[in-house]
Amino acid sequence: MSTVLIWAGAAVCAFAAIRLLLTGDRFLRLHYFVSLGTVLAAPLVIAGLALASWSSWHDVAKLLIIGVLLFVTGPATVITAGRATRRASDG
Amino acid sequence: MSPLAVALPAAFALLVSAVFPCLVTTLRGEPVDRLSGLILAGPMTTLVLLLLAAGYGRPAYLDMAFIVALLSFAGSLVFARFLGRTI
Amino acid sequence: MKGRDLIEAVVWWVVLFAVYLAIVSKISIAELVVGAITAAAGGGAAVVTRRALSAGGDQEGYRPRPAWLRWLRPLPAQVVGDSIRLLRPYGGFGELRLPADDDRAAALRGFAALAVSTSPGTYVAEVDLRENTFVVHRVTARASAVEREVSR
Repeated sequence: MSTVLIWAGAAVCAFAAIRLLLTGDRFLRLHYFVSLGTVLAAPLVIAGLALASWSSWHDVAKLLIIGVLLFVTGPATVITAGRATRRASDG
Repeated sequence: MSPLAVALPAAFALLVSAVFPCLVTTLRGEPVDRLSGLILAGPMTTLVLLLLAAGYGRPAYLDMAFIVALLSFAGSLVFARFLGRTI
Repeated sequence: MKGRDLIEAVVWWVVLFAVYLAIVSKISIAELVVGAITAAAGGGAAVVTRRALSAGGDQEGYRPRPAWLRWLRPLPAQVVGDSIRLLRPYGGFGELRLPADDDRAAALRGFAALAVSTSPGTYVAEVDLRENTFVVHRVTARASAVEREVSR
């Protein structure tokens, strides 16, 4: 189960990053693929890792805290970068 | 702890297919185009570090991932504010 | 310090101390002392920061309403659906009108912006304060479910 989750998360990350590179539209890629990476891919990988066997529960707690951190800081970063892109595009 | 067998290949796959395109994105275009690559590189690097921690079986590497997650978030905000104001 | 600020600082202390103890690898007396002291410093800093940021305006205006949690209901299905729609994105701007809420207007804008931007399909690009609207960027042409929830 953890193997499936980790590879699924890695696949979503790869899709997001490669589409990020290939898309020309500044607004489209700047955020869809950034938001996709933090909201979908990161929790998948972290869920997969959390199900693996760690030596103590502190490690799993640390892992989950990192996951929550990535998930929560995603939208705020996307909004700030969106405003910056809009200001920079309007001149 | 026992190393997770799937973590090292997944970390390599992520490095090549996710972190490398993010870095290439930071090489092309106007400064504001490069911002997106920088922003995505943060969580991708965090995930690679987490997978390496699981792959080598050393929980101490998780602390690095924690710090990278925090600092990449702060750095992205700093760059976004900077680019939004002065261009 | 008012009583409400004290309660808020204690809540912060509990949360920060719990997170610290969860992260540290071996709990000993030294770790407990360090955690308690730094959690207290962090809680105090959080309360002072909030008061400084909302100084001049009304502090009540930034507190969220519990009813706003209904915005999150369409979110899991939205995330999955948007990820599939990203395979063939459309990409265009649109406007989202917020409901008028004079008491908690600032909190409404802040939390609504975060809720709308969480799903990969839409994000808030600009906030128009005079007309109380967001300029959002969407993958699809129509508004998403979370947006419809927010603007109700």
